[in-house]
Amino acid sequence: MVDIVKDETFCPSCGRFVGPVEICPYCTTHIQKRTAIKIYKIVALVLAIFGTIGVWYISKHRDIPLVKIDQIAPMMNFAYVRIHGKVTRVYPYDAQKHSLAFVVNDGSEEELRVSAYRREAEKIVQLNLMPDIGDEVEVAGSLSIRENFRTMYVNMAERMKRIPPEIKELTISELSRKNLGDKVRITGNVVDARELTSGIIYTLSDPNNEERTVSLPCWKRNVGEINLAEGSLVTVTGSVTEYRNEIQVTPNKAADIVVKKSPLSHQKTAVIQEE
Amino acid sequence: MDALNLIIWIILGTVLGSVLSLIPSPHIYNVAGVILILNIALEKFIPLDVLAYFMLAMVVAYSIVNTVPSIFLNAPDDSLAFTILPGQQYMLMGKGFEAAMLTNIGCLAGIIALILMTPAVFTIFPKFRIIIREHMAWILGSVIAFMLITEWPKGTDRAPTGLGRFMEAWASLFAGLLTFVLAGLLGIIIMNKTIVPVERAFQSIMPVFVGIFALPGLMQNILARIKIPKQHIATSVDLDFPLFLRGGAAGFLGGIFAAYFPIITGGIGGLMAGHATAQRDERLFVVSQGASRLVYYTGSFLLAFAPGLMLTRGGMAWIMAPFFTARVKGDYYLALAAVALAGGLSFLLTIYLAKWLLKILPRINFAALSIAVMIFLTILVYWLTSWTGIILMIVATGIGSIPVFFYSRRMNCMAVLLVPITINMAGLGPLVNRLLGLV
Repeated sequence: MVDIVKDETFCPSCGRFVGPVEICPYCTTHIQKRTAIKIYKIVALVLAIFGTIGVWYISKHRDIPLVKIDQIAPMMNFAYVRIHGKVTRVYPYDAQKHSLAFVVNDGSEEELRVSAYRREAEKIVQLNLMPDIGDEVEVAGSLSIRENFRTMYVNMAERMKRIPPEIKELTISELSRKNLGDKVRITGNVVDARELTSGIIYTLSDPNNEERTVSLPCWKRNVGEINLAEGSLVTVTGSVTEYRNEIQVTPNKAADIVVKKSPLSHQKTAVIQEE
Repeated sequence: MDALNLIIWIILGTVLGSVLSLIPSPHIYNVAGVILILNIALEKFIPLDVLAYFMLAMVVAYSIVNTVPSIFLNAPDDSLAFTILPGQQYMLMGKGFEAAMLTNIGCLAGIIALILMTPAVFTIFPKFRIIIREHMAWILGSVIAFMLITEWPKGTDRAPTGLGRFMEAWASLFAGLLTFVLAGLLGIIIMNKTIVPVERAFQSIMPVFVGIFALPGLMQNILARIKIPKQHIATSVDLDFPLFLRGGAAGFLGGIFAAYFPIITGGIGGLMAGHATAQRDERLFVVSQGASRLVYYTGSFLLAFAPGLMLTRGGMAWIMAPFFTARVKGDYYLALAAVALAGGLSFLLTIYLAKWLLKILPRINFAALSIAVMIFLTILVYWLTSWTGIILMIVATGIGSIPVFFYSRRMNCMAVLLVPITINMAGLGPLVNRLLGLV
C-alpha cells in the first residue's frame, strides 16, 4: 500500500482513496495535486461551456437534410429530416385524439405517413397548413421506424410549407390519367350512390355527355356526412386519384362540394351536413 | 425459429457480451450499433428472428459481467454511480472479488425478480401505462427536482477565510448544477437538430454518451495512476438470506422504476430506491445495486417482448425497434427463458473472469489500456457518426469531466435525455426550440 499512499489520488494522511478532490473528505488533509489535473479541470470547464455554445451555433445554422422517402432506412430512426412531395391521403384533425395525419408521395417508390399530435396538430390547423389531397408539401420532422411501419412526427408546425396546386377547370369528359394528382373542378349530375361504412361513393355524369362518368368518393373522415340526391347538379373540387384502374375525383372537405341544382326545388342550395 | 439455433445464438450473445463487458468503458449499446451495421452489411449473418434474443443475451451479460471492470478498472456508467464507491472501498481493502460477487448475487436476485414479475407484465403494466400516460411530464419533472434538491453544499470547513469556506462548500453543488444545465442544453440541441449524419441517426446519442460517461473516466485513469492493492479471492461472501432478500427487493424497486419510466436510468432509480428504503448496510447497498442494474438494463429491453404493451424503454429497445416487434405472448416467455439462460451463464462466467482479471491485473498498464480504449472509442464514434460525432463527443467529454474532476454527481449528466424528453412531454418542446432559434 506504500505506493498507493504516495500517489496523489490517495490521502497522504489517512491513506484512503480521494480521487481528484484537493481536500480529503475523510480527514480534511490538503492534498497536493499535479498541475495536469488542475489544467484538465480548467480545460473541462472551458470545453463544456464554449463547446455547448458552439454546437448550438452549428445546429442553428444547419439546414435540415432533404431526403427521398424510398431512401429512408432503419439506421435513420430518429433522424430529423425534410421531405417534399404531394399529399395522397389525409386524416383530418381528430379533436378526441388531438392528432392529424397525411400521407406524402415524393415521386419515389414509397410513401410516408406524417403525423402531428396535440399542440402541433392544433397549430397546423390554426395556421391553415393542413394539406388537401394533391397539395404539395414540404415538411420536417423526426422519423420513427418500426419493423413494419414508418412515420414522421411533426414537432414544429412552422417548419411545414403547404403549396396548394392550381385548380384546373375541366369537364368530366376531359378527365384522363394525365390528370392524376392534379386538383380539378368538375360539374356533373349525380346518377348513382353506393353507401359504405366509411362514406358514400357517388357517380357523376357529364351534363353534356351522359355516357362519360366519374366516381366521387365522399369519405366521412374528409367531408363528414353528406346526402346528395340523385339528379342533383353538383360542382366538385377535388384531387384526381385512381382506384382499380378507374379515375375518381376525391373531395377533401365538405366545402369542396356545391350543389348547383337540386332535383326537387331546382334552387341553388347546399344540402351538405357537416359532421 | 429452430430451438437449437436459438439456444446457440443466446449462448454466443452471452459469451460475446461477457468478453466485451470486461473491456472498460465501451457500452454494450455502442457494440450493438456496430453489430447491427455489420449484420446488414453481411446480409443478415445473424438471422432476424433470433437477433433480438442475441441482443438480449448480450445485455444480460453486460449488466452482470461489467461490474468486474467497474470495480477493478474504475470505468462506471451512470447505473454504477453508487456501487463505485463501496466497490472501490472493498477493492482497496483487498476485497474487490467479494464486492464483485456480492453485486453478482444482486444480479441473480434481479433475474429471479424479473421472472416473478411476469404476471404483472400482462395485467398491471398495461393498465398502469394508461393511467400514467398523461402524467409523464410532471413525474419526470419531479424526478429532476428530486435529483437537484438532493445536491447539497459539501465542504470540510477548513478554509482559512469565510469566502474560502463558502467557495469550497458550494463548488461541488455548482459543478453539479452546471453539469445539469449544460447536459440539458446539449440534449435539447441533439434531440431537435442533431449534427450527426441522418444515415446514422439511430446512433446520434452515442457520441454524447461516449463523451459524457466513458472518456472522462478513462482520462481520470490516465491522470490518477491508480495501483491496485493485492486482492483476496474469497471462497464465501458475508451475506445472509434476509440481507439478500432486502437488497434484491430494494434493487428491484429502483431497477423496475427505471425500466418502466422513460429516460430514468438505473442510477437515478437506485438513488430514489435507496432513499425510499433507507439502506444503511454497505453489503445490502452493493447487492441492491447489482439487482437494480440488472433489472434496469434487462427489464427495460424485456418489456419490448411483451406484445401490446407498447413500451419502448432503454437504449437497446430503441436500437432494435426497426428490426423487432413482439407479436405473441410466447415471444415474452421465450425472452424470459433467454434471460434465465444468459443470466445463469453470465453469473458463472463472472466468477472465472473476475479470477482471471485478478491474475492479470498486476501486469496491466492502466494508462496504456485507457489510452487504447480511448483510441478505439474515438475510431468507433468516427466510423458510426463521422467528424460531427467527434465534435459532439469532445463537447460531451468536457461536460462529463465536470462531475469527475469537481467531485459532484455524474448522474446530473443524464439531463442530456431527461431535460429534452420532459420538456417535450410537457408540450413545451416547440417553445424551447423557438427560444433557442432551432426552428
